[in-house]
Amino acid sequence: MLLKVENLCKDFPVEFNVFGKPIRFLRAVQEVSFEVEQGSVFSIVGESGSGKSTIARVLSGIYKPSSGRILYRDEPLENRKRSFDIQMIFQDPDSSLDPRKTVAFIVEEGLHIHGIKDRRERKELVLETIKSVGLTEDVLKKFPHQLSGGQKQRVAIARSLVLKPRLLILDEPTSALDVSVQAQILNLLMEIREIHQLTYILITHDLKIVNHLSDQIMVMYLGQVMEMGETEQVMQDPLHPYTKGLLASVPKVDSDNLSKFSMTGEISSPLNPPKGCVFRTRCPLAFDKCQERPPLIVHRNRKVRCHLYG
Amino acid sequence: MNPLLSVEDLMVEFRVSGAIFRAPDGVSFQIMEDECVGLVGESGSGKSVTALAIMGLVPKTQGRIVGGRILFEGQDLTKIIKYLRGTKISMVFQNPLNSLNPNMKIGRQLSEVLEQHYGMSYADAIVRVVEVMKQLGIPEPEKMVERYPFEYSGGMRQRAMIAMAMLCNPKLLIADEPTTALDVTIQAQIIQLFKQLKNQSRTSILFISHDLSVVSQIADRVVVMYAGKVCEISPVRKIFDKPLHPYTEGLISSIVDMKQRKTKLKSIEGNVPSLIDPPTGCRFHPRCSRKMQICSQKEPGFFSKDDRLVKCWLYEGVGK
Repeated sequence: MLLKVENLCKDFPVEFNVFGKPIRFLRAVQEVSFEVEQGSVFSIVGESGSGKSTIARVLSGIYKPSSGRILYRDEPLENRKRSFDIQMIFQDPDSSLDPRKTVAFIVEEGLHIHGIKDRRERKELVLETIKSVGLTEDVLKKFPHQLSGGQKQRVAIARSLVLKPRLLILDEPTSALDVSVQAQILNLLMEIREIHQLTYILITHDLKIVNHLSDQIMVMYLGQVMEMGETEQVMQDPLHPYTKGLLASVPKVDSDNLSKFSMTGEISSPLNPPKGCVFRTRCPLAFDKCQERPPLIVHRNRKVRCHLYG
Repeated sequence: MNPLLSVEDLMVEFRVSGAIFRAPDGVSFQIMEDECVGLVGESGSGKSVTALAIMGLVPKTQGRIVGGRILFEGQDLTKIIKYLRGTKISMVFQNPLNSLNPNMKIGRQLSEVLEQHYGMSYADAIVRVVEVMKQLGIPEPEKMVERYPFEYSGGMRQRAMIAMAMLCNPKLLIADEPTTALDVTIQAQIIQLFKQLKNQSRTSILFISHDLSVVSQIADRVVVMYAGKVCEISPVRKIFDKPLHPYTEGLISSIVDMKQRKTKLKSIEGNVPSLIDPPTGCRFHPRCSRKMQICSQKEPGFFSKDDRLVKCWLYEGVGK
């Protein structure tokens, strides 16, 4: 097991008393546990406000977890200092690449920080990586604004890849890109995964991409896991009403599928989540028992948090 | 049927730090009464500027309309003095948070439209505002009008924007990427709302999006744009059954298929060209998989095939 997350919680303070002590919290991630196997693609899906990006940031070390354990190769994550192994690729390359630095600098910077002293070695690594993401040598002297959207995202990928990571966290890697370029980047991501034997954690709201790439899927709503299992199974036969609703909302070209759409309303504020099952306010199948919080149970080879399967 | 709007050879020129480029560059299409036309293209294809030109909102400091006509009910919108914006033509923008005034209550902002155009009093206008908001599925509109945009959720804000656009019962509603900033579930709701609008009111819709699968849900006809030019105009079902232009074909095949897993996706090689120095001949030829010698030399005209128009040399002589 490459990564093991146990009962991860993340709270953000939202209100403070006069002494600056937090008195009210926003619970962004609540008791999330999952395991990621070496070489697999694990995807986390949900609407905005479901806590999926918070998990990504905790895993990459940007946030500290409020409670819970994260084991990376059986070792607690916080014991590792300056790890090369886990790298993150962000949604919008326009805001994640420094506009004042050249591509060469951007890609090389990580090597510098991680202590590769030999200048020639650094240059070689940069060049090799840039080529492996389908760019040519001449982009090295350019600034991000001189590149197209797809090229920028390739630079962002190169920047992570140059450190030879084992686990890449992809936070909406293609949603800022044009349709025709999206397919290019997805192909590239699949290619480099095979070459470098990478493990991916893919965070997205696009179920088409999840279906295409991933082995395992975790569906989140308001900080809690709703359903988790093999992607193929979950996509073909979703159990949780929320997963069903999400799948029904994906527009497809070959049918008028949205007319069968049944999910109404919007995600509640995480500051004031519904009591009991958090999804019950939007659930078409809600009944009395949903006032109580359902446990995450195992049903047909996967985990689901719903009273319907209790 | 008469066309409600007819865009003829529209050209808008921009000057940005010394460089001149045109987008759209000679765009023509028509919208019939009661019809929903989808305008599809990638960023930089000129689809949003086309919408702004129809609205008379091309920023004067950088851009100007240098050629062509926009005929709306027989009047040329490029020459008109008293503009029809707001009453006959209205627009919904991509990000509602950027287009609503954060310091004004929603009710105030919406009633302003009626006060400006019809000289109604606030008390009269707010009645109509509440009525339209109710039609568009905003719960408890009487209370919601007293709230500020930040108190609305993303989907409700977009509903409020659509309500604002529909207040004067416009003949033409232009929606510029109205679902792009929204979550999938909310996107599905807004698409449903547009369908409902299309069926219940006599409003024609110009629906702009980069996402063909969204457009396929509501449009009757699709106009595909690439690098400032139209490449294909076709009824929506036919374009998905058999795309004619290689670009349209590429766009459709790069949509990720829900039925297939872990296969290599088909993609269009290369990037969208710069409009400052566009490719000669057909603008798509550097990325085209079926290019011929003529493609880089001469720009194709429109060739018609049944009720479809396509701008590609492959169809020269077909259907004549």
